[in-house]
Amino acid sequence: MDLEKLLNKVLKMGVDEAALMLVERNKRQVRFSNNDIDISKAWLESQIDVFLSKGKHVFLTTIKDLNNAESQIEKYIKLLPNLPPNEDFYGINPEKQGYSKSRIDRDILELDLENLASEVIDGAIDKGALRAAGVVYRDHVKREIATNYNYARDEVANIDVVIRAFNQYRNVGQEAITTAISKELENVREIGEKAGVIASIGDKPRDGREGKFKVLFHPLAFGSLVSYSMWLASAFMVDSGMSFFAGKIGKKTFSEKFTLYDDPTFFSTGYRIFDEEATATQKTPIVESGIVKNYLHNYSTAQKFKAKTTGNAGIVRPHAWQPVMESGTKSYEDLLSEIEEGLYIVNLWYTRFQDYRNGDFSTIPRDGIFYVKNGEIVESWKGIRVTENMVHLFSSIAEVSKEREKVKWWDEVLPSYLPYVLVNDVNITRSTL
Amino acid sequence: MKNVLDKIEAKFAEIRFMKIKSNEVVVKNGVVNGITSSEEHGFAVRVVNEGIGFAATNDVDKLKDAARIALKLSKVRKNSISFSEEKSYEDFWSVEEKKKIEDISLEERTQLLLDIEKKLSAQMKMQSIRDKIIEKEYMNSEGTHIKARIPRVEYFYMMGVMENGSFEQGYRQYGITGGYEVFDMWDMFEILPQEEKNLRSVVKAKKSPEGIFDLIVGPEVAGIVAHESCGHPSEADRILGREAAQAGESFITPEKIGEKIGSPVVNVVDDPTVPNSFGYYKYDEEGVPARRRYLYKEGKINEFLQNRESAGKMKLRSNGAARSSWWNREPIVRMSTTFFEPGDYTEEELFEDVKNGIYMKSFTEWNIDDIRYNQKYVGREAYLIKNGEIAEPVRRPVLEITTPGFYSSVDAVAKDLEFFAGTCGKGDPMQGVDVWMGGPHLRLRNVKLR
Repeated sequence: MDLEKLLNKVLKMGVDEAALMLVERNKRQVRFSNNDIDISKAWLESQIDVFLSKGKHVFLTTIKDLNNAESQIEKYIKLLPNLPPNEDFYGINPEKQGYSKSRIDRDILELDLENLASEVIDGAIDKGALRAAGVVYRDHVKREIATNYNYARDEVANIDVVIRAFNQYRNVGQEAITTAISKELENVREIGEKAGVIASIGDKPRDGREGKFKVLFHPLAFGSLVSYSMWLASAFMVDSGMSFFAGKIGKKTFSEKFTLYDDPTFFSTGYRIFDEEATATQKTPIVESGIVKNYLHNYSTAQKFKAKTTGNAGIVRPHAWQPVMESGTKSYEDLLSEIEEGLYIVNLWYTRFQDYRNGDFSTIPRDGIFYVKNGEIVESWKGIRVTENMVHLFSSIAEVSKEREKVKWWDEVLPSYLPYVLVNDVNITRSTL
Repeated sequence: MKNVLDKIEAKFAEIRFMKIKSNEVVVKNGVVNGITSSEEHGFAVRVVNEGIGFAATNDVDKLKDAARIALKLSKVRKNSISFSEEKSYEDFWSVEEKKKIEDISLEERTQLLLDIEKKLSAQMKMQSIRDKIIEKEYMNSEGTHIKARIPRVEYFYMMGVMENGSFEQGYRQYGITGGYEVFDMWDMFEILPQEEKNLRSVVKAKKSPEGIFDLIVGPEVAGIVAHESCGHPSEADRILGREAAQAGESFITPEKIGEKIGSPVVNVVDDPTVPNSFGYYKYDEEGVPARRRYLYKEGKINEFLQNRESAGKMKLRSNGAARSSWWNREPIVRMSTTFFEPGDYTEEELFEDVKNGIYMKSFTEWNIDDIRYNQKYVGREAYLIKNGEIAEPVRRPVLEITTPGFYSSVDAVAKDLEFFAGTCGKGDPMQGVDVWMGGPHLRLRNVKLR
């Protein structure tokens, strides 16, 4: 399909601005449980994401029937003048953009996913797990965007490997890594082995206790907290008033050990060179040494906030591409050894806020919850909950590790590159009946 | 479709076609932020041999490719899999819209949201209307051929009020299978101002007291409890470990059928046939007829939700719980409308026997662990109960309790019944499916609150 030709036709149909993004996707997935493959899947999909505006009248659609794209867009354009205006719309980015080079490791496309699944299962079993479940997922996307002002294309491919290993007492270990680099999957068995080791450490989990604990969060666990926070760092949510980041730009809000970027320029699964209005992507500091530096913006939210776009369109809702945290100087082992009495938590899920504005939330540890005494893991726990405030938790970061991991899990954790994070005074609660 | 299906050589094969027209309008703090409309269609081919192969495409020219790929992918499992044996059906079903989706313009939908907003003075407001019309055709290699037309409309709001630096938030979803008569069933011009009034009352209220109390929960809380700690743990694919790496497993194991989970007054069902319910269907996504399932019956674990894959593994028959959220998703075990069956108490009888208690009418934050055993519900609208009467509002009572702890503490169930809409997430890639959940008022004795 000639996207620029289609754009030129659309612009002659009476719109002021248009952004057309053609997305061709070839996805593969292998899901497994109980040490065997349950289902192998493939998707062959293509679509055009369409944005149209006339003055402040805006409209979005996705077209899957590419053969009739022109006539469908023409039909939608007729609706535009009658739609109520979006007073928060200030146009799509008119500035001419310079893009980084598109990057893809094509060897990713040659990897045998069923074989990867077998390898990680075997790795977990070798290290003492009784059974393993998980997913190997490959995404191969070609994107092409054309607006009144810019044109760009890129092609990316990446793989997620998720394994959850169980021992005979249902003690669990999980690894959920993601990468765009095929070499990082040469020893995929090790991913399974790590999950198997975690599952085997704790033997039979005990009921956990309530209290305030020093907690070492695995990158996957901290990824869950960071991913939910990134959603609230979007200018869309800040503008709604439903965000604990609101009113905090330029203020020292968190621990000075906490530096967080949205960085789609880092070559991993969240790598991309343009956003959904063809703005070139960039590394954007959200928090630097505890000071809130930026919200995530598209061109319109940036105008409203008197800021610059950060290349995070969604034309209506800006969103994060790839959270990256600055690393520290101490190793994971150093951080563990600093815990006199505390916990090591591998994963979190079901993070829910009772107060987006102030950051009150709770979330549930899973896939490895360990009680630590004098720097040593002494037992595995179950049945606890982190009941906290996000500002307090990020303010209580004591250290971050020098090691970082590329993590991504299901819909809970964005593709991220994060260290282990040691946090003081984390409030732990549990069920009482 | 039939030609392609007939040429697949397999133990079992199916092709599903879906055409979906959808619209969404979002209004935030008085500004129309997004108007989206789209039409799409696609095919999904699923093939069973040693394992299961699945391929989906939105290009009709690639349907044969999808069938070839699904066939190839169906042969990679070590231990052979078999679906349950089921009867074949040919049918067409649809749901009537009293106020047709296609008769309501995008301008009218937007104006409706703006008019509702004019009734509110809360500092933070977000609303959306979404609708869709799904046309689908399903056929499998055993002769089942089902066509359907399903309209659905949903409304969502999120609201936050600020008083003297203190903040309180609420959000709710309303939805039906049907048309824009959803706004006749629930009058948002009444409900939202009332919600704002409640939030303004709660934001000034004292924190709920800690201690052991009798607790009465409203239908909204009963609904989320039924969904989270009865519906989910009764999904057979979780019980078998099929969702272990994502949504998790279940504290229930196959041999627990018949075991006590709660008091004898507890009955929880899942029923896709409740008329106009948000998750309504006549046949599931494998062409199996829908029916009511008693998940917990008289306080005992009674029946699991099954699709053909899980039922085959358990050597049972499917009870019609296979659903897929979109044309490009595999059918997996899902809930539809999950609720506590009403009992025989009036609401007055429920309250009059409580000397010192808490009434948690609705909830805000909640979560539950991945085996559906440890859960938490935080009250949104809540009150003290003193000598059988509802007294002053209290802020954010917290119930952290186990599943048997909750169901065993229920001593009385009221006659009323209300349903609430939700979008239930499960599967990988994620599948959000439309559901209802609900129940009557429930009374629990001697539970710890904080």
